[in-house]
Amino acid sequence: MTGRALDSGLQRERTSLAWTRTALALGVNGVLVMARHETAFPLPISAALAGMSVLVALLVLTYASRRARVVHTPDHEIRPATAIIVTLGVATTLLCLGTGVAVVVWQ
Amino acid sequence: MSDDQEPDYRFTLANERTFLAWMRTCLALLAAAVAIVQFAPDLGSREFREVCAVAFAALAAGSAAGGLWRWRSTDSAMRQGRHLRGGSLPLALAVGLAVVASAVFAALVLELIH
Repeated sequence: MTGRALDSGLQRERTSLAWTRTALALGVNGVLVMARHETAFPLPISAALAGMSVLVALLVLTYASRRARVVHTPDHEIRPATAIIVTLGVATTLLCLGTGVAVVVWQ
Repeated sequence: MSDDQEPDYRFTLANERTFLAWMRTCLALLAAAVAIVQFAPDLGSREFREVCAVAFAALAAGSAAGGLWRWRSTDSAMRQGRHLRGGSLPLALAVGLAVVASAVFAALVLELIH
């Protein structure tokens, strides 16, 4: 295998792993919000925050598996994952703002 | 010299992984915000916990929005063959985090010596 082809495979693998780690972090955050939730927020609020985290995590996982299967796409056809990146960025920002608001209102 | 060229796939993927690293940084900060209000009910006063949690959530939101912004501006710079901006986001995060973490640490120490 040439150096270039090897690097190509490794780059894609690292990227796929990065997506998976991000989905994992989102899932963990969802679980964390629900653990001992009664000390912080009313149940519907905690459930909404946790639910949003898990939903985005699943979305990311779906995309990550597709990105991994891109293995057979030639290098020059790899495009930026704009749609999922913008979605993830906006959704995560909203999640943070929502959490901050929840703290102010219910603490 | 062309105006807009599709960047080398390696830079596209590297930019993508950098964005995802910012996302995970954001989520770690968000976890800290949740931890302060849900798992440390005795740390300092209620107001103190609230302020710290909001500070962590603000740092988290800044990391997510900032990470997205940097991804977009880096992608755009790569396409147009311009230099990549250094940007002050990592520094801003480090400073903000140092401030909030110091406050929490101080509260913990006070808690221990009382």
